[in-house]
Amino acid sequence: MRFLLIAVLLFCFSCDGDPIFSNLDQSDIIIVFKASYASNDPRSWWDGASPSANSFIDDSAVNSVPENLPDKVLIDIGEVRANNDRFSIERFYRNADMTDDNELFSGKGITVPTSDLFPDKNYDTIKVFFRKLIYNQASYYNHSWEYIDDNEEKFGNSDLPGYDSIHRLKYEQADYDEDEDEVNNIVYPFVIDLPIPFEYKVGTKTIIEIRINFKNSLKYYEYGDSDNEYYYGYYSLADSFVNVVEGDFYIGGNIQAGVNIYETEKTLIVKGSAPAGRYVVAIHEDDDISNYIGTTLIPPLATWCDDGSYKLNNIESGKRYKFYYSSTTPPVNGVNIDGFSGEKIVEFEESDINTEVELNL
Amino acid sequence: MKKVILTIIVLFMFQSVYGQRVRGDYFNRPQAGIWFGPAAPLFETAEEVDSALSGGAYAKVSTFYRPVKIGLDLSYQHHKSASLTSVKMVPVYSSLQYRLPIKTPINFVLKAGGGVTRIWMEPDMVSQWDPTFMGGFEISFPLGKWINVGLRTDYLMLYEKHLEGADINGHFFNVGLSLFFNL
Repeated sequence: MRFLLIAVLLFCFSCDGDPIFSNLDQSDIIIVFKASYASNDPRSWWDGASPSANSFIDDSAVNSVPENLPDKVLIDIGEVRANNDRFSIERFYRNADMTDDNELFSGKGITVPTSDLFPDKNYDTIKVFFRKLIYNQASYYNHSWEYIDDNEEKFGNSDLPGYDSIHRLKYEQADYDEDEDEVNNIVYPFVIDLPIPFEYKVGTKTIIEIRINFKNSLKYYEYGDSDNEYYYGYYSLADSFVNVVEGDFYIGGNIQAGVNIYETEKTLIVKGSAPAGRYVVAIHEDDDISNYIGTTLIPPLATWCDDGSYKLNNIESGKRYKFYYSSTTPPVNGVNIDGFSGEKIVEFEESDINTEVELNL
Repeated sequence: MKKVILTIIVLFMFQSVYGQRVRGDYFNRPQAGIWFGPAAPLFETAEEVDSALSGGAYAKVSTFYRPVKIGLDLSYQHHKSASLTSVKMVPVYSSLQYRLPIKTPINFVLKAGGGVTRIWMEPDMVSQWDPTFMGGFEISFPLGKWINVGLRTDYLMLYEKHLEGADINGHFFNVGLSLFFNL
Protein backbone atom coordinates (compact mmCIF):
# COMPACT_ATOMS: atom_id res chain seq x y z
CA MET A 1 0.00 0.00 0.00
CA ARG A 2 2.89 2.32 0.73
CA PHE A 3 4.13 1.79 -2.83
CA LEU A 4 0.80 2.97 -4.14
CA LEU A 5 0.91 6.06 -1.95
CA ILE A 6 4.40 6.89 -3.15
CA ALA A 7 3.28 6.53 -6.77
CA VAL A 8 0.25 8.77 -6.20
CA LEU A 9 2.43 11.43 -4.56
CA LEU A 10 4.95 11.35 -7.42
CA PHE A 11 2.10 11.51 -9.91
CA CYS A 12 0.98 14.78 -8.35
CA PHE A 13 4.44 16.30 -8.89
CA SER A 14 4.08 15.84 -12.62
CA CYS A 15 1.11 17.95 -13.56
CA ASP A 16 2.91 20.70 -15.47
CA GLY A 17 5.91 21.01 -17.77
CA ASP A 18 6.86 21.08 -21.42
CA PRO A 19 5.38 18.79 -24.08
CA ILE A 20 8.65 16.95 -24.60
CA PHE A 21 7.41 14.28 -27.00
CA SER A 22 5.51 16.80 -29.11
CA ASN A 23 8.69 18.86 -29.33
CA LEU A 24 11.06 16.05 -30.29
CA ASP A 25 10.72 16.92 -33.98
CA GLN A 26 10.70 20.66 -33.38
CA SER A 27 13.70 22.93 -33.44
CA ASP A 28 14.43 26.57 -32.94
CA ILE A 29 17.25 26.37 -35.45
CA ILE A 30 16.84 26.36 -39.22
CA ILE A 31 19.56 26.09 -41.80
CA VAL A 32 19.21 28.25 -44.88
CA PHE A 33 21.53 27.07 -47.63
CA LYS A 34 22.52 29.45 -50.42
CA ALA A 35 24.87 28.98 -53.36
CA SER A 36 25.91 32.60 -53.88
CA TYR A 37 28.60 34.87 -52.45
CA ALA A 38 25.94 37.38 -51.39
CA SER A 39 23.54 36.79 -48.53
CA ASN A 40 20.87 38.78 -50.34
CA ASP A 41 20.51 40.37 -53.78
CA PRO A 42 23.41 38.48 -55.38
CA ARG A 43 25.22 39.45 -58.54
CA SER A 44 23.56 38.15 -61.73
CA TRP A 45 24.94 35.11 -63.50
CA TRP A 46 27.75 36.39 -65.72
CA ASP A 47 26.50 39.96 -65.13
CA GLY A 48 23.50 39.18 -67.31
CA ALA A 49 25.60 38.27 -70.38
CA SER A 50 25.79 34.86 -72.06
CA PRO A 51 29.37 33.62 -72.19
CA SER A 52 30.55 31.55 -75.12
CA ALA A 53 30.99 27.79 -74.76
CA ASN A 54 34.77 28.01 -74.50
CA SER A 55 34.86 30.96 -72.06
CA PHE A 56 35.91 29.00 -69.02
CA ILE A 57 38.40 26.41 -70.21
CA ASP A 58 41.16 26.02 -67.65
CA ASP A 59 44.71 26.25 -68.96
CA SER A 60 45.25 22.69 -67.75
CA ALA A 61 42.64 21.38 -70.23
CA VAL A 62 44.45 21.06 -73.55
CA ASN A 63 42.87 18.01 -75.20
CA SER A 64 39.16 18.75 -75.52
CA VAL A 65 36.82 21.67 -76.11
CA PRO A 66 33.33 21.81 -74.56
CA GLU A 67 30.44 22.46 -76.91
CA ASN A 68 28.15 24.11 -74.38
CA LEU A 69 28.29 25.79 -71.01
CA PRO A 70 26.48 23.93 -68.25
CA ASP A 71 23.00 25.08 -67.36
CA LYS A 72 22.44 22.69 -64.45
CA VAL A 73 24.26 22.15 -61.19
CA LEU A 74 23.36 19.16 -59.03
CA ILE A 75 24.13 19.50 -55.35
CA ASP A 76 23.73 16.67 -52.85
CA ILE A 77 24.48 17.25 -49.16
CA GLY A 78 24.22 14.44 -46.64
CA GLU A 79 24.31 16.25 -43.33
CA VAL A 80 25.54 19.33 -41.55
CA ARG A 81 27.33 19.42 -38.23
CA ALA A 82 28.23 22.16 -35.81
CA ASN A 83 31.69 21.12 -34.64
CA ASN A 84 30.97 17.39 -34.54
CA ASP A 85 27.34 17.60 -33.41
CA ARG A 86 25.06 16.14 -36.11
CA PHE A 87 22.26 18.64 -35.82
CA SER A 88 21.04 18.39 -39.41
CA ILE A 89 20.73 14.84 -40.74
CA GLU A 90 18.12 15.44 -43.40
CA ARG A 91 19.82 14.89 -46.72
CA PHE A 92 18.97 17.57 -49.25
CA TYR A 93 19.72 17.70 -52.92
CA ARG A 94 18.79 19.93 -55.80
CA ASN A 95 18.96 19.66 -59.56
CA ALA A 96 19.17 23.40 -60.00
CA ASP A 97 18.90 25.53 -63.09
CA MET A 98 21.79 27.96 -63.30
CA THR A 99 19.49 30.98 -63.38
CA ASP A 100 19.10 34.06 -61.22
CA ASP A 101 15.59 32.98 -60.24
CA ASN A 102 16.59 29.64 -58.77
CA GLU A 103 16.27 29.71 -54.99
CA LEU A 104 19.88 28.60 -54.60
CA PHE A 105 21.16 31.58 -56.57
CA SER A 106 18.54 34.27 -55.94
CA GLY A 107 19.47 34.95 -52.32
CA LYS A 108 16.40 33.16 -51.01
CA GLY A 109 18.04 29.83 -50.21
CA ILE A 110 16.88 26.33 -49.34
CA THR A 111 15.49 25.76 -45.86
CA VAL A 112 16.79 22.65 -44.13
CA PRO A 113 15.33 21.34 -40.82
CA THR A 114 17.62 20.62 -37.89
CA SER A 115 17.55 19.57 -34.29
CA ASP A 116 18.55 22.10 -31.68
CA LEU A 117 22.14 22.41 -30.55
CA PHE A 118 23.48 22.05 -27.05
CA PRO A 119 23.05 25.29 -25.14
CA ASP A 120 26.02 26.86 -23.37
CA LYS A 121 28.43 25.24 -25.80
CA ASN A 122 30.69 27.27 -28.06
CA TYR A 123 30.57 26.18 -31.68
CA ASP A 124 33.34 27.43 -33.94
CA THR A 125 32.95 25.37 -37.12
CA ILE A 126 30.18 24.26 -39.43
CA LYS A 127 30.82 21.07 -41.39
CA VAL A 128 28.92 20.46 -44.60
CA PHE A 129 29.01 16.83 -45.71
CA PHE A 130 28.81 16.85 -49.48
CA ARG A 131 27.82 13.77 -51.37
CA LYS A 132 27.92 15.11 -54.91
CA LEU A 133 28.57 18.24 -56.91
CA ILE A 134 27.72 17.77 -60.57
CA TYR A 135 27.64 20.19 -63.47
CA ASN A 136 26.11 18.98 -66.72
CA GLN A 137 27.83 19.20 -70.11
CA ALA A 138 30.49 16.63 -69.30
CA SER A 139 31.91 14.12 -71.80
CA TYR A 140 34.19 11.13 -71.72
CA TYR A 141 36.81 10.14 -74.23
CA ASN A 142 39.02 7.20 -75.09
CA HIS A 143 42.75 7.17 -74.37
CA SER A 144 43.33 9.10 -77.63
CA TRP A 145 40.89 11.81 -76.56
CA GLU A 146 38.29 10.73 -79.10
CA TYR A 147 34.78 11.56 -77.94
CA ILE A 148 32.75 8.53 -76.78
CA ASP A 149 29.64 9.93 -75.14
CA ASP A 150 28.21 12.41 -72.68
CA ASN A 151 29.01 11.40 -69.15
CA GLU A 152 26.27 10.51 -66.66
CA GLU A 153 26.19 10.25 -62.90
CA LYS A 154 23.78 8.74 -60.41
CA PHE A 155 21.78 11.48 -58.74
CA GLY A 156 18.58 10.99 -56.76
CA ASN A 157 18.15 7.44 -58.13
CA SER A 158 18.42 8.66 -61.73
CA ASP A 159 21.22 8.75 -64.24
CA LEU A 160 21.69 12.38 -65.14
CA PRO A 161 24.19 14.02 -67.47
CA GLY A 162 27.21 15.53 -65.78
CA TYR A 163 30.37 14.72 -63.90
CA ASP A 164 30.68 14.50 -60.13
CA SER A 165 33.75 16.48 -59.15
CA ILE A 166 33.29 16.46 -55.39
CA HIS A 167 36.12 14.00 -54.83
CA ARG A 168 38.40 16.32 -56.79
CA LEU A 169 37.48 19.18 -54.49
CA LYS A 170 38.37 17.45 -51.24
CA TYR A 171 41.92 18.76 -51.33
CA GLU A 172 42.62 20.45 -47.95
CA GLN A 173 38.94 20.39 -47.08
CA ALA A 174 38.87 16.63 -46.53
CA ASP A 175 38.49 16.02 -42.83
CA TYR A 176 37.66 12.40 -42.33
CA ASP A 177 36.20 11.51 -38.98
CA GLU A 178 38.16 8.57 -37.73
CA ASP A 179 35.22 7.36 -35.67
CA GLU A 180 33.06 6.99 -38.77
CA ASP A 181 32.96 3.80 -40.76
CA GLU A 182 33.98 3.67 -44.39
CA VAL A 183 30.45 3.97 -45.76
CA ASN A 184 29.79 7.19 -43.88
CA ASN A 185 33.02 8.62 -45.17
CA ILE A 186 31.71 8.56 -48.73
CA VAL A 187 30.49 12.08 -48.05
CA TYR A 188 33.07 14.79 -47.76
CA PRO A 189 33.00 17.21 -44.87
CA PHE A 190 33.70 20.75 -45.93
CA VAL A 191 34.72 22.76 -42.88
CA ILE A 192 33.72 26.41 -42.52
CA ASP A 193 35.26 28.30 -39.62
CA LEU A 194 32.90 30.66 -37.85
CA PRO A 195 34.40 34.12 -37.41
CA ILE A 196 32.77 34.46 -33.99
CA PRO A 197 31.97 31.35 -31.91
CA PHE A 198 28.27 30.64 -31.72
CA GLU A 199 26.37 29.73 -28.57
CA TYR A 200 22.78 28.55 -28.90
CA LYS A 201 20.21 29.91 -26.45
CA VAL A 202 17.30 27.55 -25.80
CA GLY A 203 14.03 28.86 -27.15
CA THR A 204 15.66 31.39 -29.48
CA LYS A 205 14.60 31.19 -33.11
CA THR A 206 17.89 31.08 -34.95
CA ILE A 207 18.89 30.94 -38.60
CA ILE A 208 22.21 29.41 -39.60
CA GLU A 209 22.75 30.70 -43.10
CA ILE A 210 25.35 28.65 -44.94
CA ARG A 211 26.63 30.05 -48.21
CA ILE A 212 28.80 28.00 -50.51
CA ASN A 213 29.43 29.92 -53.67
CA PHE A 214 28.64 28.09 -56.89
CA LYS A 215 27.51 31.22 -58.68
CA ASN A 216 29.83 32.91 -61.16
CA SER A 217 32.55 30.37 -60.43
CA LEU A 218 33.11 27.87 -63.22
CA LYS A 219 36.00 26.20 -65.07
CA TYR A 220 36.34 23.38 -67.57
CA TYR A 221 38.87 20.71 -66.57
CA GLU A 222 40.11 17.37 -67.81
CA TYR A 223 40.87 14.21 -65.92
CA GLY A 224 42.18 10.75 -66.83
CA ASP A 225 41.25 7.77 -64.66
CA SER A 226 43.94 5.76 -62.94
CA ASP A 227 44.51 3.24 -65.74
CA ASN A 228 44.13 5.92 -68.45
CA GLU A 229 41.40 3.94 -70.17
CA TYR A 230 39.02 6.88 -70.25
CA TYR A 231 39.41 10.63 -70.06
CA TYR A 232 36.82 13.11 -68.92
CA GLY A 233 36.08 16.73 -69.73
CA TYR A 234 33.88 18.37 -67.12
CA TYR A 235 32.97 21.61 -65.38
CA SER A 236 33.57 22.37 -61.74
CA LEU A 237 34.35 25.38 -59.56
CA ALA A 238 36.86 27.91 -60.88
CA ASP A 239 40.41 27.61 -59.55
CA SER A 240 40.52 31.18 -58.30
CA PHE A 241 42.48 30.39 -55.15
CA VAL A 242 44.53 27.26 -55.84
CA ASN A 243 45.68 27.07 -59.46
CA VAL A 244 45.07 23.78 -61.21
CA VAL A 245 47.80 22.67 -63.56
CA GLU A 246 47.86 19.84 -66.06
CA GLY A 247 47.89 16.46 -64.41
CA ASP A 248 46.48 17.66 -61.09
CA PHE A 249 44.24 15.08 -59.54
CA TYR A 250 42.74 17.58 -57.10
CA ILE A 251 41.22 20.90 -58.03
CA GLY A 252 40.53 21.55 -54.36
CA GLY A 253 41.03 24.58 -52.19
CA ASN A 254 38.60 26.54 -54.33
CA ILE A 255 35.32 26.22 -52.46
CA GLN A 256 34.23 29.59 -51.11
CA ALA A 257 31.99 29.51 -48.08
CA GLY A 258 30.70 31.60 -45.22
CA VAL A 259 28.17 31.41 -42.42
CA ASN A 260 25.88 34.02 -40.93
CA ILE A 261 24.04 33.15 -37.71
CA TYR A 262 21.29 35.40 -36.45
CA GLU A 263 18.18 35.45 -34.33
CA THR A 264 15.13 35.93 -36.52
CA GLU A 265 13.37 38.27 -34.14
CA LYS A 266 16.29 40.69 -33.84
CA THR A 267 16.99 41.62 -37.44
CA LEU A 268 16.97 44.86 -39.36
CA ILE A 269 17.93 46.10 -42.80
CA VAL A 270 20.77 48.47 -43.60
CA LYS A 271 20.62 50.31 -46.89
CA GLY A 272 22.34 53.22 -48.53
CA SER A 273 24.72 54.18 -51.26
CA ALA A 274 28.00 52.57 -52.26
CA PRO A 275 30.15 52.49 -55.40
CA ALA A 276 28.39 50.66 -58.21
CA GLY A 277 29.70 47.27 -59.29
CA ARG A 278 31.05 46.36 -55.87
CA TYR A 279 30.22 43.95 -53.11
CA VAL A 280 29.08 45.54 -49.84
CA VAL A 281 29.91 43.38 -46.84
CA ALA A 282 29.46 43.51 -43.08
CA ILE A 283 31.39 41.63 -40.43
CA HIS A 284 31.23 41.65 -36.65
CA GLU A 285 33.34 44.27 -34.91
CA ASP A 286 35.63 41.62 -33.41
CA ASP A 287 36.27 40.12 -36.81
CA ASP A 288 39.07 41.17 -39.18
CA ILE A 289 38.32 42.05 -42.80
CA SER A 290 41.69 40.64 -43.87
CA ASN A 291 40.21 37.17 -43.22
CA TYR A 292 38.15 37.70 -46.37
CA ILE A 293 40.76 39.06 -48.75
CA GLY A 294 42.29 36.49 -51.09
CA THR A 295 40.83 33.62 -49.07
CA THR A 296 37.91 31.26 -49.61
CA LEU A 297 36.07 32.65 -46.58
CA ILE A 298 32.94 34.68 -47.40
CA PRO A 299 31.92 37.53 -45.05
CA PRO A 300 28.84 36.73 -42.95
CA LEU A 301 26.83 39.44 -44.73
CA ALA A 302 27.33 40.47 -48.33
CA THR A 303 25.30 41.95 -51.14
CA TRP A 304 25.96 43.09 -54.67
CA CYS A 305 25.72 46.82 -55.27
CA ASP A 306 24.80 47.01 -58.92
CA ASP A 307 23.74 50.62 -59.44
CA GLY A 308 25.14 52.60 -56.51
CA SER A 309 22.55 51.66 -53.91
CA TYR A 310 22.60 48.58 -51.73
CA LYS A 311 20.45 46.81 -49.18
CA LEU A 312 21.85 44.39 -46.62
CA ASN A 313 19.32 42.14 -44.86
CA ASN A 314 19.47 40.22 -41.60
CA ILE A 315 21.71 42.55 -39.63
CA GLU A 316 21.27 41.74 -35.94
CA SER A 317 20.48 44.39 -33.35
CA GLY A 318 22.59 44.66 -30.24
CA LYS A 319 25.80 44.07 -32.16
CA ARG A 320 28.48 46.28 -33.66
CA TYR A 321 29.28 45.70 -37.30
CA LYS A 322 32.02 46.87 -39.62
CA PHE A 323 30.83 47.70 -43.15
CA TYR A 324 32.98 47.73 -46.28
CA TYR A 325 32.72 47.68 -50.03
CA SER A 326 35.09 45.81 -52.32
CA SER A 327 37.90 48.07 -53.51
CA THR A 328 37.50 47.01 -57.13
CA THR A 329 34.88 45.33 -59.25
CA PRO A 330 35.55 41.59 -58.86
CA PRO A 331 35.90 39.48 -62.01
CA VAL A 332 32.63 38.05 -63.22
CA ASN A 333 33.98 34.50 -62.93
CA GLY A 334 35.66 33.47 -59.69
CA VAL A 335 34.81 35.78 -56.79
CA ASN A 336 38.29 36.44 -55.44
CA ILE A 337 38.11 39.89 -53.85
CA ASP A 338 41.47 41.64 -53.60
CA GLY A 339 40.58 44.26 -51.02
CA PHE A 340 37.89 46.14 -49.13
CA SER A 341 37.54 49.89 -48.51
CA GLY A 342 35.41 52.46 -46.72
CA GLU A 343 35.21 50.94 -43.26
CA LYS A 344 32.33 52.16 -41.13
CA ILE A 345 31.54 50.80 -37.68
CA VAL A 346 27.94 50.93 -36.55
CA GLU A 347 26.10 49.57 -33.54
CA PHE A 348 22.41 48.81 -33.86
CA GLU A 349 19.96 49.16 -30.99
CA GLU A 350 16.90 47.12 -30.16
CA SER A 351 14.77 50.00 -31.37
CA ASP A 352 16.18 49.37 -34.87
CA ILE A 353 14.62 45.91 -35.11
CA ASN A 354 12.38 45.54 -38.16
CA THR A 355 13.43 48.94 -39.46
CA GLU A 356 15.58 50.08 -42.37
CA VAL A 357 18.66 51.99 -41.25
CA GLU A 358 20.40 54.34 -43.70
CA LEU A 359 24.16 53.97 -44.05
CA ASN A 360 26.05 55.50 -46.96
CA LEU A 361 29.47 54.04 -47.65
CA MET B 1 8.61 -52.67 -1.18
CA LYS B 2 4.86 -52.25 -0.68
CA LYS B 3 5.55 -49.17 1.48
CA VAL B 4 7.68 -47.66 -1.25
CA ILE B 5 5.04 -48.29 -3.94
CA LEU B 6 2.29 -46.93 -1.65
CA THR B 7 4.37 -43.81 -0.93
CA ILE B 8 4.90 -43.19 -4.67
CA ILE B 9 1.18 -43.60 -5.38
CA VAL B 10 0.31 -41.17 -2.59
CA LEU B 11 2.86 -38.63 -3.89
CA PHE B 12 1.44 -38.88 -7.41
CA MET B 13 -2.10 -38.50 -6.12
CA PHE B 14 -1.34 -35.34 -4.15
CA GLN B 15 1.45 -33.82 -6.28
CA SER B 16 -0.68 -30.98 -7.62
CA VAL B 17 -1.77 -29.97 -4.15
CA TYR B 18 1.81 -30.18 -2.90
CA GLY B 19 3.15 -28.26 -5.87
CA GLN B 20 0.51 -25.57 -5.58
CA ARG B 21 1.36 -25.00 -1.97
CA VAL B 22 5.10 -24.73 -2.56
CA ARG B 23 4.74 -22.40 -5.55
CA GLY B 24 2.19 -20.38 -3.70
CA ASP B 25 4.50 -19.97 -0.78
CA TYR B 26 7.32 -18.70 -2.96
CA PHE B 27 5.14 -16.42 -5.00
CA ASN B 28 3.66 -14.84 -1.94
CA ARG B 29 6.96 -14.05 -0.34
CA PRO B 30 8.39 -10.57 -0.79
CA GLN B 31 10.55 -10.54 -3.90
CA ALA B 32 13.20 -8.21 -5.29
CA GLY B 33 15.17 -8.38 -8.48
CA ILE B 34 16.75 -6.78 -11.48
CA TRP B 35 16.01 -6.84 -15.19
CA PHE B 36 17.84 -5.98 -18.37
CA GLY B 37 16.79 -5.86 -22.01
CA PRO B 38 15.79 -3.83 -25.04
CA ALA B 39 13.44 -0.87 -24.87
CA ALA B 40 11.71 0.25 -28.04
CA PRO B 41 9.85 3.49 -28.66
CA LEU B 42 6.43 3.03 -30.29
CA PHE B 43 4.19 5.02 -32.63
CA GLU B 44 5.20 8.69 -33.09
CA THR B 45 7.94 8.36 -30.51
CA ALA B 46 9.67 5.76 -32.72
CA GLU B 47 10.01 8.34 -35.49
CA GLU B 48 12.22 10.53 -33.34
CA VAL B 49 14.35 8.28 -31.12
CA ASP B 50 15.89 4.83 -31.45
CA SER B 51 15.64 1.65 -29.42
CA ALA B 52 18.02 1.22 -26.54
CA LEU B 53 19.13 -1.18 -23.87
CA SER B 54 17.50 -0.58 -20.55
CA GLY B 55 17.51 -2.07 -17.13
CA GLY B 56 16.09 -1.64 -13.71
CA ALA B 57 15.26 -3.01 -10.31
CA TYR B 58 11.99 -3.94 -8.72
CA ALA B 59 10.33 -5.29 -5.63
CA LYS B 60 7.03 -7.06 -5.02
CA VAL B 61 5.00 -7.64 -1.87
CA SER B 62 1.90 -9.72 -1.30
CA THR B 63 -1.58 -8.50 -0.66
CA PHE B 64 -4.43 -9.99 1.31
CA TYR B 65 -5.62 -11.57 -1.96
CA ARG B 66 -3.03 -14.25 -2.66
CA PRO B 67 -2.84 -14.15 -6.51
CA VAL B 68 -2.26 -10.39 -6.46
CA LYS B 69 0.97 -8.62 -5.54
CA ILE B 70 1.99 -5.00 -5.54
CA GLY B 71 5.20 -4.14 -7.32
CA LEU B 72 7.44 -1.10 -7.40
CA ASP B 73 9.72 -0.63 -10.41
CA LEU B 74 12.57 1.75 -11.07
CA SER B 75 14.51 1.64 -14.31
CA TYR B 76 16.68 3.65 -16.68
CA GLN B 77 16.64 3.97 -20.45
CA HIS B 78 18.45 6.36 -22.82
CA HIS B 79 17.04 6.64 -26.32
CA LYS B 80 19.34 8.34 -28.78
CA SER B 81 18.73 9.29 -32.40
CA ALA B 82 20.76 9.87 -35.53
CA SER B 83 20.78 13.59 -34.74
CA LEU B 84 21.39 15.25 -31.37
CA THR B 85 17.92 14.52 -30.06
CA SER B 86 17.84 12.04 -27.22
CA VAL B 87 15.63 11.15 -24.29
CA LYS B 88 16.78 9.80 -20.95
CA MET B 89 14.11 8.32 -18.70
CA VAL B 90 13.84 6.98 -15.20
CA PRO B 91 10.35 5.47 -14.85
CA VAL B 92 9.20 4.89 -11.29
CA TYR B 93 5.88 3.17 -10.99
CA SER B 94 3.78 0.87 -8.89
CA SER B 95 1.68 -1.94 -10.30
CA LEU B 96 -0.85 -4.53 -9.33
CA GLN B 97 0.33 -7.95 -10.48
CA TYR B 98 -2.09 -10.81 -10.94
CA ARG B 99 -0.86 -14.36 -11.29
CA LEU B 100 -2.99 -16.32 -13.75
CA PRO B 101 -4.46 -19.50 -12.21
CA ILE B 102 -2.57 -21.96 -14.38
CA LYS B 103 -1.32 -25.12 -12.73
CA THR B 104 2.28 -25.25 -13.75
CA PRO B 105 5.59 -24.40 -12.09
CA ILE B 106 5.81 -21.39 -14.37
CA ASN B 107 4.13 -18.21 -13.15
CA PHE B 108 2.17 -16.14 -15.66
CA VAL B 109 1.56 -12.66 -14.35
CA LEU B 110 -0.45 -9.77 -15.76
CA LYS B 111 0.32 -6.34 -14.40
CA ALA B 112 -0.93 -2.78 -14.68
CA GLY B 113 -0.14 0.37 -12.83
CA GLY B 114 1.11 3.90 -12.88
CA GLY B 115 3.62 6.32 -11.53
CA VAL B 116 5.92 8.94 -12.87
CA THR B 117 8.92 9.18 -15.13
CA ARG B 118 11.75 11.59 -14.74
CA ILE B 119 12.62 12.56 -18.28
CA TRP B 120 15.51 14.55 -19.72
CA MET B 121 15.48 15.73 -23.32
CA GLU B 122 18.70 16.66 -25.09
CA PRO B 123 20.05 18.80 -26.60
CA ASP B 124 17.77 21.38 -24.97
CA MET B 125 18.45 19.97 -21.49
CA VAL B 126 14.76 20.09 -20.56
CA SER B 127 13.81 17.83 -17.66
CA GLN B 128 10.57 17.14 -15.85
CA TRP B 129 8.32 14.50 -14.28
CA ASP B 130 5.73 12.90 -16.59
CA PRO B 131 2.73 10.89 -15.35
CA THR B 132 3.18 7.32 -16.50
CA PHE B 133 0.80 4.43 -17.06
CA MET B 134 1.95 0.90 -17.66
CA GLY B 135 0.69 -2.55 -18.53
CA GLY B 136 2.65 -5.72 -18.89
CA PHE B 137 3.06 -9.43 -18.82
CA GLU B 138 5.61 -11.55 -17.04
CA ILE B 139 6.65 -15.20 -17.14
CA SER B 140 8.88 -16.56 -14.43
CA PHE B 141 9.86 -19.85 -12.91
CA PRO B 142 11.68 -20.70 -9.72
CA LEU B 143 15.22 -22.01 -9.64
CA GLY B 144 15.12 -23.51 -6.18
CA LYS B 145 13.89 -21.85 -3.06
CA TRP B 146 15.43 -18.42 -3.42
CA ILE B 147 15.97 -17.60 -7.06
CA ASN B 148 13.55 -16.95 -9.92
CA VAL B 149 14.26 -16.11 -13.54
CA GLY B 150 11.79 -14.57 -15.89
CA LEU B 151 10.92 -12.68 -19.01
CA ARG B 152 8.98 -9.46 -18.66
CA THR B 153 7.35 -7.13 -21.12
CA ASP B 154 6.12 -3.67 -20.20
CA TYR B 155 4.30 -1.05 -22.15
CA LEU B 156 4.84 2.47 -20.80
CA MET B 157 2.79 5.48 -21.73
CA LEU B 158 4.23 8.80 -20.62
CA TYR B 159 1.17 11.00 -20.51
CA GLU B 160 1.73 14.54 -21.79
CA LYS B 161 -1.46 15.40 -23.61
CA HIS B 162 -2.67 17.34 -20.59
CA LEU B 163 0.16 19.83 -21.15
CA GLU B 164 -0.42 22.98 -23.16
CA GLY B 165 0.81 22.57 -26.72
CA ALA B 166 1.08 18.78 -26.50
CA ASP B 167 -0.53 16.59 -29.12
CA ILE B 168 1.15 13.26 -28.47
CA ASN B 169 2.23 11.09 -25.55
CA GLY B 170 5.40 9.05 -25.21
CA HIS B 171 5.10 5.32 -25.86
CA PHE B 172 7.67 2.65 -25.07
CA PHE B 173 7.78 -1.13 -25.01
CA ASN B 174 10.36 -2.77 -22.79
CA VAL B 175 11.38 -6.40 -22.83
CA GLY B 176 13.68 -7.74 -20.18
CA LEU B 177 15.23 -10.84 -18.75
CA SER B 178 14.78 -10.73 -15.02
CA LEU B 179 16.42 -12.33 -12.06
CA PHE B 180 14.72 -11.98 -8.72
CA PHE B 181 14.92 -13.40 -5.28
CA ASN B 182 12.43 -14.65 -2.75
CA LEU B 183 13.19 -12.81 0.46
